[in-house]
Amino acid sequence: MRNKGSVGSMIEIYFGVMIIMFLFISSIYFANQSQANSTADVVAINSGFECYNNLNNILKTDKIFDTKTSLYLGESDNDLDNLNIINNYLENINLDFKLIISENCDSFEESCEYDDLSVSSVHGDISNKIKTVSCSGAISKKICEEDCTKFLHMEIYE
Amino acid sequence: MKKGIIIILYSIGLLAVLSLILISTYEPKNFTVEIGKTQQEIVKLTELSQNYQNFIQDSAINSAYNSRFYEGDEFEINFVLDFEKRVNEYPKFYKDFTIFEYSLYMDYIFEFEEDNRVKIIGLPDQILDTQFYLDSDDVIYSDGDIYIRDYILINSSIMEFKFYPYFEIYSDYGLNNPQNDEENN
Repeated sequence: MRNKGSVGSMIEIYFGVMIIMFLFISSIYFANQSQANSTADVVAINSGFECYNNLNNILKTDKIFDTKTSLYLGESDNDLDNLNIINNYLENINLDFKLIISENCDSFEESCEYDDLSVSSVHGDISNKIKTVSCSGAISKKICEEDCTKFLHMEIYE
Repeated sequence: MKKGIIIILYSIGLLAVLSLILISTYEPKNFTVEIGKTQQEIVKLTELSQNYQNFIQDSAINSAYNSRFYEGDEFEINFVLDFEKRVNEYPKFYKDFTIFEYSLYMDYIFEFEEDNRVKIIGLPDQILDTQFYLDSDDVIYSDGDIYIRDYILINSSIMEFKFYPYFEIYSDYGLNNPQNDEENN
């Protein structure tokens, strides 16, 4: 009986060793044969150039108000009328965007946050479209006591 | 438990683990690569710099307008105070943007002309420092002197950008003088 147990144990060890050897050899073989398959979606980030460039051009041009836009906006309090004038001047631009004037912007680090009370004017049709990029620029008010800066924002929709 | 059983169980466990690894790598993995991050940063920094340059020039024009009833030294003092108040309201971008507090000293050149017009040139300049600036990271130690740097250093996550604001305007001064008017301001 004792010899039978020893033989059975030896057979189990033999099978175990064989299985481990099989794993070892096959893992080397399949490691050589293996091929990693993957697919990659390459997404180009919107640089925002269109937004910033348009905004800076609007602020620096003297074609819209016969004086530099940023100076005019800094002097005038009729923000809504001014935004509509800008939008009318840009009527031939094939771009859907919203222009906003707000009084506050703490940081340009990410993007300005402005409240719903800010004055805005829409160019084109932005319904059922999503905002793809936004940008902001600062305007110096001509006459002021405390807050001497207001902000023009542009949101582009696609 | 017999040693043989342990080895068999161990080998079966090992086989199961390897099978899982094989199965998990069999299916192609999908991942997304975003390109253009650097381009995005460059666009944002350069366009913000343009906006700041435009803002600083407008601020100078408005400060000159608000100082139009002063003459000589009073004009200069009022202009500088009003101008720096305005420019300090510009929002910070990235972690390093506090213009007149730490990052930049704006120097001014005033040239008063005979026709009651003044030419104002604003440009960054280093200054000999005082204790006021000693807590700033922007202090430059050079030959025993302490300087504040003369540019705005803008840091983003991947690049640094040095910005040197500059403006030059002409303005009437001393409008309390009846010979002057506001038309050419």
